[in-house]
Amino acid sequence: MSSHSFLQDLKTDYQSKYGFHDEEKYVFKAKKGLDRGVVEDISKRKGEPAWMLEQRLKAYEIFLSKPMPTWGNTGLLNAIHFDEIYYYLKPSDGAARTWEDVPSDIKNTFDKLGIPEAERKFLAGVTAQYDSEAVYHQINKELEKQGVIFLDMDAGLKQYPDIVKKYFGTVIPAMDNKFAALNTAVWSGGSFIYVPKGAKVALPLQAYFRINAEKAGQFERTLIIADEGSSVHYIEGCTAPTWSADALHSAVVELVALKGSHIRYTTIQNWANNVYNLVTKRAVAYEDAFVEWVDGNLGSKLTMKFPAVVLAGKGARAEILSCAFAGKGQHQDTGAKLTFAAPHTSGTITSKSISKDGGRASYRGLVKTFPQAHDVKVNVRCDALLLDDVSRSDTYPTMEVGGDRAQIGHEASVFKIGEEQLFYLQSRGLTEAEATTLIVNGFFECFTKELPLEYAVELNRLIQLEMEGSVG
Amino acid sequence: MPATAMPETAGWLAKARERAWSDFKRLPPPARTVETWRRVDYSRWRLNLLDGQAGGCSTAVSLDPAVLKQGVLLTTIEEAASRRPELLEPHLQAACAGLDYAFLETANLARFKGGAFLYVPKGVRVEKPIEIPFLQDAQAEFSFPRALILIEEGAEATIVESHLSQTAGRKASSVAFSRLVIGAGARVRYFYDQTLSAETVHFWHQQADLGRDALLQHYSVLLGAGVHKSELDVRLSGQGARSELVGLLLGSKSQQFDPHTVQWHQASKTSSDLLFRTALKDRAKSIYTGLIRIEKEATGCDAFQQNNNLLLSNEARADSTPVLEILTNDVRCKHGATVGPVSQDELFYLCSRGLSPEEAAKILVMGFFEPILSKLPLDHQKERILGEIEARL
Repeated sequence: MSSHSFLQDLKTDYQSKYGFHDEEKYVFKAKKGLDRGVVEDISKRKGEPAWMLEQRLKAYEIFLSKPMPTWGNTGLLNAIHFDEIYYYLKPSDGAARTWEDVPSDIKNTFDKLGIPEAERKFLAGVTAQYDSEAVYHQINKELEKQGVIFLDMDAGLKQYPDIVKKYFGTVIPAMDNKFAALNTAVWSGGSFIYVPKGAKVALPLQAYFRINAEKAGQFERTLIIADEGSSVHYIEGCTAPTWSADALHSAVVELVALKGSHIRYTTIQNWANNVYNLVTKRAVAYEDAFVEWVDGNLGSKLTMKFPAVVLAGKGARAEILSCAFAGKGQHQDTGAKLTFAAPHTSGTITSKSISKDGGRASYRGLVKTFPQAHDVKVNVRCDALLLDDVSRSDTYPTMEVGGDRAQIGHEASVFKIGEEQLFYLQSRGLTEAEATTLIVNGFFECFTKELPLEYAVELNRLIQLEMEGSVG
Repeated sequence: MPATAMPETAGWLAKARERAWSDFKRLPPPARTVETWRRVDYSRWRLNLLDGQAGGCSTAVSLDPAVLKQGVLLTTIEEAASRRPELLEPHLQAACAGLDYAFLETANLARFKGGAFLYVPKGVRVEKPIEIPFLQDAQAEFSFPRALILIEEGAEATIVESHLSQTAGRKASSVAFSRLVIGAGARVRYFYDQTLSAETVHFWHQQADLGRDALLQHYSVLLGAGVHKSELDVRLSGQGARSELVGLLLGSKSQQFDPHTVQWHQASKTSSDLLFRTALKDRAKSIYTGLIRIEKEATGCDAFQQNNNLLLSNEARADSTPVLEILTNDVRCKHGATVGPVSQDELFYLCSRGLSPEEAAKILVMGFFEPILSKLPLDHQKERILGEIEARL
């Protein structure tokens, strides 16, 4: 195996690969901190309808009234300085339709990240978000013919106000939690997708989110509606430069899977290690719908993200695959939530986590069934791998089961890499570092095999990057 | 010993109790925002109504004369405080239960009557089970059972702590604290039996400390009380210590249970195992929370935890939260939890043998409890519990 030289090629660290940042040139940068005026200003600059401003202001009040969470890593959470954050940064005027229209420095950023190449090669459409606003957006002609709408959220609100109004905030209301309220108050950008009845989107739709400015807040809002019998796969990736001051990413993602539809939502989060990543993601699956969350978390300082599915219609199904890698100074507080509100529904949660160099990976999950949801089957499986004796792994699953016709199982295990495994691979000529990397890649295999090729390759590279210098 | 024949309380204990009372008056009651109290309302214990009046709960304890000769001591805490203050003091002062329970703990320390103190000296093996029954006084609105059990190095004992009501039909609030200290190489079988009346609101906290190579086999049977909240906090603080925890819970009507268990590995090469089984009928509800924590220093540990819940009616509800917190990598740690109805296949099989569905379900539930029932150490206790379970099913 030539992974040794491959590892050497990757002697670049996060700083040089993703850690670059461009000079800050913004068409508009809101003042630091948050007040009613900032919220009104964001809405005004976007030329939004009155009902949206009203929602924002209501959410702002909720944000103020809700206390910070008293659970999770409260030490890190309470270190967030909401007054130090820039809530709205506008990098260019309007989303460009073709790649050539994108300002050259931003283009440069995305070139470094390989976005347009990926798009040209095989992805159906791309939205790239730079701080608060989407800067580039393209959709395949074929999809347009099918009537698929793929816009950034601001354009979605302008062009399809009725659809947005019907669904916005219905899956995750501002009351849901403090950070959902914050997002609702100051949201900007994100993706808006509507897949009409029976349409099948064969290629994945892709979005890329990047924070550039120091102390920036990114609050994208994504809404995906899969109409009856349709199917869609959406992929998002995230990075940020390494600034000395912390940045805040607090997204809200709402999925509506109508009767018989299928949504797959894939995330690869690789924020820099000073980004707070506090995200609320939830889907509602109606009759016979199928929702999948494939969620990979590598970067950030603190991630709190628990993709959820509410199984609201008979025969609905959900699968959540959650994968986390916690390195030095990181806490990955991730997991999944399934709520069963209808009969003959089923779900599985698979969680894989790795902790290394003092990192902490926590699985936090919820399985809830209501008495009317009979003939429910749920299976939860969590595996945690600890790579050294200074790292930490937690499992916090909660099951709340009402009714006597639901079958729920949960299983978790925590372990280290076996000496026999290492010995066997080393006896085949691998160094300890190569053997460890191979085992770690194998551990994540159930996750990587669910990703499109480019992403799988990228993830393997990222893991190798993280693994560098881990042995000897 | 009847509570009326109280010996003069030792000065140090009286002071400790006064301090506890003033702490109790000063402390804020636990808020619902605290995770521990999120699901069961603290106000159910109505401790806000507690005044200078002491609570009532008698401990009738006696020992075999042969056992007494071995130097085993079983008496009230009050008496022991005068006779053996050096044994008691280190364990009665500390607020061991932590902040979430401090309010209840100070109330108990300030207002307990009598209490039970058991001391098994170094190397002594007590063959017969030692019973510590807490009988709730018929007239008392509050009762504060308290037990302190010291098992020294290499000693062996089987202990049965039971909580029973003298009469049914009267509202009562019971707040019990039990402390178990097990010395190096000692072996203890401990049995906690809660069969209080349905009108009782019961809280129980036990901290068990295990020394080097000590063994604790612990059985909980939770059948009674209208509201039950408990925490069994097992601390494996000596290298090579092992705990085996087993629990059985049967809830019916509108009973509500909130049992917590903790397997806290503080030393290397410690091991623990837990099996907690719950069956719920009618509108009964159970919220089981179990924690395995393995500290950074505790290398080479082995920990296991299993919680199974059987729901016997559509209105019953079972919550289960088995938690792992692992701070080192040289461990073997697993947990599993299930919630579901009785197996339809097994029911069908039994019915095909001529049993009615009710009889078949009863057999299946008894089978579900068998791993715990088969281990109960006292025959008369076992009979009573079996009878109780069968009658309830």
